[in-house]
Order: sequence, then structure tokens, then C-alpha cells
Amino acid sequence: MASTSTSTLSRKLILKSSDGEKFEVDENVAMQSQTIKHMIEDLDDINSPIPVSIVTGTILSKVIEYCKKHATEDSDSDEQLKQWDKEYANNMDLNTLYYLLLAANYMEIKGLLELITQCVADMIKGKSPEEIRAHFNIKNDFTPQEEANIRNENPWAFEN
Amino acid sequence: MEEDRIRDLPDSLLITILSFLPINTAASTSVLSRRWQYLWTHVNHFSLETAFDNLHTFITSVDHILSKLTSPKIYTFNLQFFLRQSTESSAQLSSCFVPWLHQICRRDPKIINVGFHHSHGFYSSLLFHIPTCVFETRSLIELDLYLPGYIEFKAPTTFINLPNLKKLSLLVCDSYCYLIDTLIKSLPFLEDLKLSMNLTVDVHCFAISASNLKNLFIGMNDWGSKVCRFVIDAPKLEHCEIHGYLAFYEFFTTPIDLQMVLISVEEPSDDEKDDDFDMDYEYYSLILGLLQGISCVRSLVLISYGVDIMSYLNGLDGIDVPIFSNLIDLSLYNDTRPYEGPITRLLLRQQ
Repeated sequence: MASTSTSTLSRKLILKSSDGEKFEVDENVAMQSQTIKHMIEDLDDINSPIPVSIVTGTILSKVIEYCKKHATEDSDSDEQLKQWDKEYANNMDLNTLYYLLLAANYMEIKGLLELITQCVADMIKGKSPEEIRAHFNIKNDFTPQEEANIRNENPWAFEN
Repeated sequence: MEEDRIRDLPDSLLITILSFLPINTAASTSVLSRRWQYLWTHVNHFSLETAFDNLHTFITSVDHILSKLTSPKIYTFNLQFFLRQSTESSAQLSSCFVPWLHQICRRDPKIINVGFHHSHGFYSSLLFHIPTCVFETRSLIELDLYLPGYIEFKAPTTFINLPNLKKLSLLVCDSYCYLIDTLIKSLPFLEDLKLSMNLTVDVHCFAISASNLKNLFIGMNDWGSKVCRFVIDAPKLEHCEIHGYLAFYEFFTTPIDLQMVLISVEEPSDDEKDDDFDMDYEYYSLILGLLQGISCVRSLVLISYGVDIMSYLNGLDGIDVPIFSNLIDLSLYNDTRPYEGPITRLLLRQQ
């Protein structure tokens, strides 16, 4: 392929989700993922789709939405970007958060991982153990005696 | 209905989530289920801001938490404690931080932030022993010690090793005020410095020499037996806040990028005043060195509590007050009200 004078512009990459959906993104958007950055370094032909094997198309589109916003940081102030992050995370249901966490962890996108982790941590904050179990659907497999023992062992953790 | 999946996350991600929580909240997840029982002990941040009944329960609780944490790295150690009742001070209490900080400093901390909050005079005689390992921890970026303490050191220059420290905040006590000059000089990348002075001894001269310093805060809460003197060499200073009692300030170089200065002045109470110290003239004149040093500032806020700095400045013949040629914003307050009297023409000239 003949190279053109526009070669200084951002190159395009194609990301392929686990269910075969393809996304064309600017290189600087995709490079926010350390995993993809390392994959590109090892790749001979950047025109072939890059497999993001454990991430579905639905989730990958949300990951790309985040990366696009954070690739063009010059247009927004830090404050606006934080507000955008907040709304982005608040619009996700628990299951989407779960898949986004796995995706951010696998793709090594530090900012996204921190954002979602903080969001889940905020859901735990201020809740009693009973409320946390209900919120995350965690089954209590302790006997009442065992649970009482743990509470007695760490009394400082349970007084508010 | 689809089930919530958060509980199916790998342990490593659950531990990351728990690391974002205060340590007591993280530890409370130990009763959720068998799987969660020990997850919290792997977190690599320690943050606890809470009130305890007394020093004894405080110490046993922190001892217990630290004995449980298994992570080889503890990046944050943030401990803000409040006490509901007084306890007799003892050797065991005053040395409680020694084993804790030794443990933390071995685990590559980036942030150490310890604050003791109590009503004034509650533990007036209590001093906590701060081990020197805190000043030898290369990984530290932020150090904030807001507690009455003492450091046992032989020669100050031999142990300071904080090449990465960017932010330092100290409650400066008599026992180690001699260390401040050397400490600040030993921090090549220091950008933020906050000194809350808590002094009673006579030696009151501090050299703040920091070539990368951007933010400086000095709070003078006690009027010692002598006027404090600060010699400041911080050419890159951008923000400066001076609170409480005035001190003698001398700027080695005038910081030319200074954006904002807030000066909030109080007058020492009658029983703190020195008999042969002329409050009306000598105390007010202390502000002149400060004004000289900050004369490049863009935005100046001057608040006076119970002192009449403006009348003093207006009464000068104009030679002693520098010209604030870069000044864009000027706010003056008398107690909490905006000041409406005459303004010295030197501050007004360039507006």
C-alpha cells in the first residue's frame, strides 16, 4: 500500500470482541489499554483485527466510549471529566459493572479500573453486612455461632 | 431475572475494591461469607478515621488490624484518631507508633498520614515517639504528621533519606524543631509544605530552602516567648497561606510566579504578650517583611482578627510598603466582614 502524506495522523486499529463484533478506533484511543499497546508492538500487520478475547461487543463498546473521552482530554477541564466519569459509572447496572471490571482489568486500563472499583466500593460503604449481602446477592454460609465469633474478634470493625 | 455477578469476581479484584474502603469497613466484610472472611487482610491501603473511647482501645485496635494485614506492600497509612475520654499518659501509650511505623515503613509506603485530634489541653503533656525510620523511607511521596511528638536522633543529617517526597505537613514541636531546616533542605522535590507551629521554646529561626516548592502554609497557633523568624528561599512559590500570629519573614528571593497569598492575622491574647513588646508598633511591623517578599502576587487576601493592620499600613509614609505591580485581586476583611475603610494607596496603585 502506498504511503500518503497523512501518515502523521492517528492510525486506525480494528478491535474484535469475543462475539465477533468489530470496532474501528484511533490508535491513541486503543493505546490507553496497556494490553493492546503491548499487542500492537508484537504485531506485524496492524490492519488485521486485534482480538479482545474475553470482552463482548456490548461491553467493548462501553470501554471504547470511556477511552475516547479520555483520549481527547484537552477539550474538557478535569472537573468536567470527573463529572462525565461519574455519570458514565452511575448509568451502569451491577452486571455491566462486573463485566466492565473484568474488561478493564484484562485490558489494563488504569483509569477505568479505578473508576469502577471506586464505584463498587461506594456501594459497600455505609452498609451493614446484611445489606451488603442483599445488594450483591451473597449467601451467608456461616453458622450464627461462627458469625458471632468473627464479630467478637474484630469489634472495632462493627461499631459505628 | 439475571443474577448479580459482582460476587463472582476473582479474589484479586475484590481485594482491589476493599482497598478503596476504610479499613474498618473492609474488615466488616469478613462476616459476609467464608469466602470473604480473610479477603480484607490482603488490602494494600490502610485508612482509619474514627473515634475511640480512649487511648487504650485505640492502641489495641490498631495493633490488631496491623497484625492481620498480610500484604507485603502498604501504599497508604492514613490514621486519624479522635478520643472520647482522657487517659493517663504512659510510656506504653507514647511509644505506640514505634512498632506500627516500623512495620509500615518496611512495606514501601507512598503516603503516611497520621493525625491526633482532641480538644485543646486534653493531653497537653502527651508526646508520641516518632521513630526515625519515617525519615528514611525512600518510597514516601507524602508525609503528614499532625501529632505532638518527639524524634530521637543522633545527628540529623545521617538519617534523612526521602528522595521522592513531594508533600510534607508537620505539627512542629519543640523536641524536633531544630530538625526542620535540615529536613526541608534534604527534600529535592518538595512541592507542598505545611508547618503548624506548636512551640514553647526560645529558638525560633527557620530556614525554608526548597527550590521546587509551589505551596507553602504556615500556621502559628502559639505566641512563644520570642517572635518566630522564617527565612524563605523558594523561588518557584505559587501559593502561600499564613495563619495565626505574625512572625518575622524574610524572603531570600522574591517568588515571581506567586499567584495567591492569604494572610490571616491574629493578635496574641493579653497573657501571651511580652511586657517589653510594643504590640501597637512592633507586632504590626512584622508584616512588612512578608509584604516585601510577596510583592509579585496576583491575588491577595488579607484577613485581620482583632488587629488593625490596615490602619497601621495607612499610617506608614509609603517607603516601607512595596508596590504590588502584578496585583489583580485584593480582598480585605476585618474579622468576618469585608473591610470598608481607606486602603493604602500602595496596594491600590496598580488596580
